[in-house]
Amino acid sequence: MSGDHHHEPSFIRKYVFSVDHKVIGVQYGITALSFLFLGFCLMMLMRWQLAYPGEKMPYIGNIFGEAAMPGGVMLPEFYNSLGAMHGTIMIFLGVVPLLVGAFGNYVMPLQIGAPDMAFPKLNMMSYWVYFVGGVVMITSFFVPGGAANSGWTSYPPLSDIATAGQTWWLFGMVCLITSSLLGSVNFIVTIIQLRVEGLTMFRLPFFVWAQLITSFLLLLAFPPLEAAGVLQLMDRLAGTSFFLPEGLVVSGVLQTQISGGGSPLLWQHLFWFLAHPEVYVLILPALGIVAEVIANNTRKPLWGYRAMIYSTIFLGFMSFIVWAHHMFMTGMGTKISAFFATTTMIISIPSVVILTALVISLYQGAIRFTVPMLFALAFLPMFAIGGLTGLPLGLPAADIHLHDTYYVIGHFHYVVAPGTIFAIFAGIYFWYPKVTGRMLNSTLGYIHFFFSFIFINIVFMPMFWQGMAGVSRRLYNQTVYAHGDAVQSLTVMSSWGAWMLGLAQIPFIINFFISRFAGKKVSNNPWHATTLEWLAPSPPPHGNFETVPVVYRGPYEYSVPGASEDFNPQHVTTEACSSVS
Amino acid sequence: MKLSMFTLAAAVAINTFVYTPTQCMADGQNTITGKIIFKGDPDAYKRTKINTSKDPNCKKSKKTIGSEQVIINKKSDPMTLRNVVVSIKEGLGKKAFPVSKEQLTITQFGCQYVPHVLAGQAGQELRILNGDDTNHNIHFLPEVNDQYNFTQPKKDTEVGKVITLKAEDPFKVKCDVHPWMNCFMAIFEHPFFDVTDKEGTYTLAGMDDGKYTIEAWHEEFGKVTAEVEVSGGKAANQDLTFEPKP
Amino acid sequence: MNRSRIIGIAAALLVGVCLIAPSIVLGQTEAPAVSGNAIDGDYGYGLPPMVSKDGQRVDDLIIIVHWFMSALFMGWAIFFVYCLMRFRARAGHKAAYDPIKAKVSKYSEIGVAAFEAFLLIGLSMPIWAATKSEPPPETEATHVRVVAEQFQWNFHYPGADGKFGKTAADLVDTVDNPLGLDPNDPAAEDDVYATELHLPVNKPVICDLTSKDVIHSFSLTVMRVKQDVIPGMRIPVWFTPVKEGRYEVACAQLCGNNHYSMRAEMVIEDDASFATWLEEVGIVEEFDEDELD
Repeated sequence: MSGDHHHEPSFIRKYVFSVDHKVIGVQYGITALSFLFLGFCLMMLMRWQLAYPGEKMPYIGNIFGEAAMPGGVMLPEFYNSLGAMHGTIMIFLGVVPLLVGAFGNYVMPLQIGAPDMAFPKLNMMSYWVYFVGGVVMITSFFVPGGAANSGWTSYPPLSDIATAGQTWWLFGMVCLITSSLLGSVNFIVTIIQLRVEGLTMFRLPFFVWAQLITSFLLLLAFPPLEAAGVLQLMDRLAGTSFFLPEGLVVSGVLQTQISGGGSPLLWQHLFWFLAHPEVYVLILPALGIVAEVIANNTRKPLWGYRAMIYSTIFLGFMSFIVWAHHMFMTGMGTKISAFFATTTMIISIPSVVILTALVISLYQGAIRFTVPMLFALAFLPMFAIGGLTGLPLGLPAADIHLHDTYYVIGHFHYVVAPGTIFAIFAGIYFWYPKVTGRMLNSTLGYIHFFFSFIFINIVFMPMFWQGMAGVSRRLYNQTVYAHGDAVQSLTVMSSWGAWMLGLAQIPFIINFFISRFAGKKVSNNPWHATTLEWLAPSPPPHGNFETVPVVYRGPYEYSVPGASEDFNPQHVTTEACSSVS
Repeated sequence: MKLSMFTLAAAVAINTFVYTPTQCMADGQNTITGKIIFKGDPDAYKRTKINTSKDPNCKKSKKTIGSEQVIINKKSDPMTLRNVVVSIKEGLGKKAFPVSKEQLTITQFGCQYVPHVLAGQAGQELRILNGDDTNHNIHFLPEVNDQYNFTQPKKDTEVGKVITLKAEDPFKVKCDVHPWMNCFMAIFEHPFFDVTDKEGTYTLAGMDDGKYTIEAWHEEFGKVTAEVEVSGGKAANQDLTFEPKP
Repeated sequence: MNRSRIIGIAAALLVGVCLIAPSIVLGQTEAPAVSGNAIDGDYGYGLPPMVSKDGQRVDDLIIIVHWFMSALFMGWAIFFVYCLMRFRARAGHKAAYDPIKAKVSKYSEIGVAAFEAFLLIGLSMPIWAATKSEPPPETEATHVRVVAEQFQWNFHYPGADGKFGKTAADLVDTVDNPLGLDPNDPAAEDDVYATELHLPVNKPVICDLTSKDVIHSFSLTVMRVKQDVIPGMRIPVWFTPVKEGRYEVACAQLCGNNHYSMRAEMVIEDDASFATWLEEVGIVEEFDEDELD
């Protein structure tokens, strides 16, 4: 960009319809954090009904209107809406936009030394399509019959005959999927094309690798769901029956308007063909963040950097051929189940490799217990629990008892909540100084971490016992069953844990806003890190780098023998590193 | 809003024994009364006990409930039919009638809807109450109106929203938790309708002078019509007969 | 780690525990149960009672997997905590640049993979094959059709002739004919309809699952049986109850507003009681309003 034609952009251009990857990243971040909070609030409401079924919700019970909570008592249809929307908001509006839209957008171009994304306008469009999708989802709470209430998986025929909220959900999903597709194309091109000189593929930070694989997953897995979403819209609006067999009798009425011939299982295949790679979309960037924070805070190179990359590629590939392990109970025969169970067991191996590499990276390090590091460290055992509990679910025979129980809820929440969301917190504490030029307060950070860590385990640990006892998920009131009534006390415990976890986020929210103005000012590289984003000023200006950097070495050259400092940044020449300052 | 047990019992009692739709808004002087006669073999339409063992809570409100599709008053001669909707079908012209202010209620009691057949005027308010210690799911199956589908998971609750309906031929409303539970609603543009009581009688009141076609509808036997001419405030008598083919 | 930080962590943990304690105490309060018939068996925090012949194999697998998981996690956690304590940053301690060359991780990964293969091929697959591909002989088994609908389980017994009557979707009437039985089919005459699942003890049972409307899931927790019920498909499941008593049938797949109340009861009884029940359940009693109290 030549200086003559450089105009100071207007406020709208600079902060609202911006094409700068950093502004878009922050937009994504703020929007997605708001959605994350909203999704959490929905869950806290559900926890009341679960813990005290049919009792009036204190203080706030009356504000939800008579169609949702007459007299402050939650109706089952509203409970189902909350459940479906909690899942949708957390995954598609919260975690993925945070990991990919916010961290990916902000950090990845900096880490590869690029001035911006390859297609800045596409990037802007991606955000605004996502935003529209979010607005559609929120609006759906206010349509007659409430928001979608057929679960986040929206299995037909239930979703085909559901209230109008489901149509809104589908429109919202089409927007969100489109947004992810636009983003993924941009990411792939940027990572392949815009790396600076010397930054070969095997000198990329692991976070960039994770983003690259994630983008491929998004690119390949989302189109089937987009297609499926459109088919379901047709079923609902145009009278087709892609997912409806003939002879349905709903509420005693033969559905003669359905031509039939469709298959409810088709949706499940299309959905899980997306949604299983989606699980890795949720976890790979999180592993990337954790790898960055661990390398930086152990002051030593990551152990098995290449093995981790190969494992990630393998993981990405395998994630496309395990989807039917979500469908063991749909009447699957021995051979097909054997295939999917085998691929499921195989996919656990690269996950074990990555986790092992991260833990061995701690060995012989000099571990700094900073706030981001605490979150990254807590991620490891939490992710391990989440991963291990996937094992009985992946064995079809054990799945017979555990399928669709709270065990499943516990399992994937351990992966995503204390797993991915802890990684997100690690990332926020780690890169906040880069984005704002100021540190987050570490005392508030420690308080936030310890309470979150304790309470999140109180929320999810009891679910394994509930699941063992055979309690189904998505039950408005589990006490109607003898086996549910027997473990109701665990539900109450879990609920209190959730509300306490909500309180534990207050220090973070305060910290997040106050530190923007009152936090300690920092230099370009407060963590003494090696990757390129720490070369740019904090916050980086438009165009990112004052001079285009050149890369001389791999991403994690910490504690190199003979070097003057315990970190050798990627952009510093070898002579400069070893010269005694 | 919490209903006291007494109100609820009163509502059930009123609905069961003295239920009559309101007809106060019409300003004419004429009335039509009559019986709905059943000609056929009553043994072919015996009422049966409904097995409510699926939900033991049903029995808490009422021990035994019986089927309600066909209820024949065998004591009268000729035999009469209960739960028949009688209304004026033709002859009112384009006249508009004010909507009754009185609320209609349906109570779920003993896992049955009380009343089993409800007639009302378009725009009249309707409340649905739950008198059972169990969960009900009210599912409307109309053609014209909204297909309401909502739950009432607790005893002594009522739907907060008050429903108002559009005019429609009798349609079914059922409970998705207790499949035997259903009732019918008939909604009219005018206030000239009635549902036959235990004795099988009806009264239509307040019409102007004129010639009318009246229609009787029964959920099993369908519709029959008759022509009646009324004038000068005299009560006209018109019986209608259902004669199901064996 | 300096002393003040250790004190800080300890204080945080203490406050945390103080906040949890009331939740655990509050957790003890019994929520009001929806009353009904007494359900047999001890239900608690572990696996629920198990009353089928082959269910023990599922339980065994679950238990073995959990021992394996616990062992892995404990070993892993010990190493993790050791690293955190031994290699914390402190004066005079420097991180090592060169990676360790230990083969332990490689061998343990191979070990994990091998054990997973054993679990899958040695334990899971045979159980799955038995529950999905090896039905008991038709002649010995009690045959029941299970028809799911929002929000009720319907059970259809073939009656004395052992033949199910024809059913059709357009004949379904929620009150008179919930199954849509064809009245002109002689095989339908003695068919029995029930909303409670009664089964004779110690005899294999085959349940054919169909759904009228949406996807449900037929879950017999105590039998370790679970199977999605999918409209447009007929899916059989089989099991052998071995203990008399009254148990529950649950729906395990979200099927609409009242999914949670889609519950039925299952009675396992001896042959004689089963035969009596089968004869009596279909009898329709006349209802006389005047007899009512």
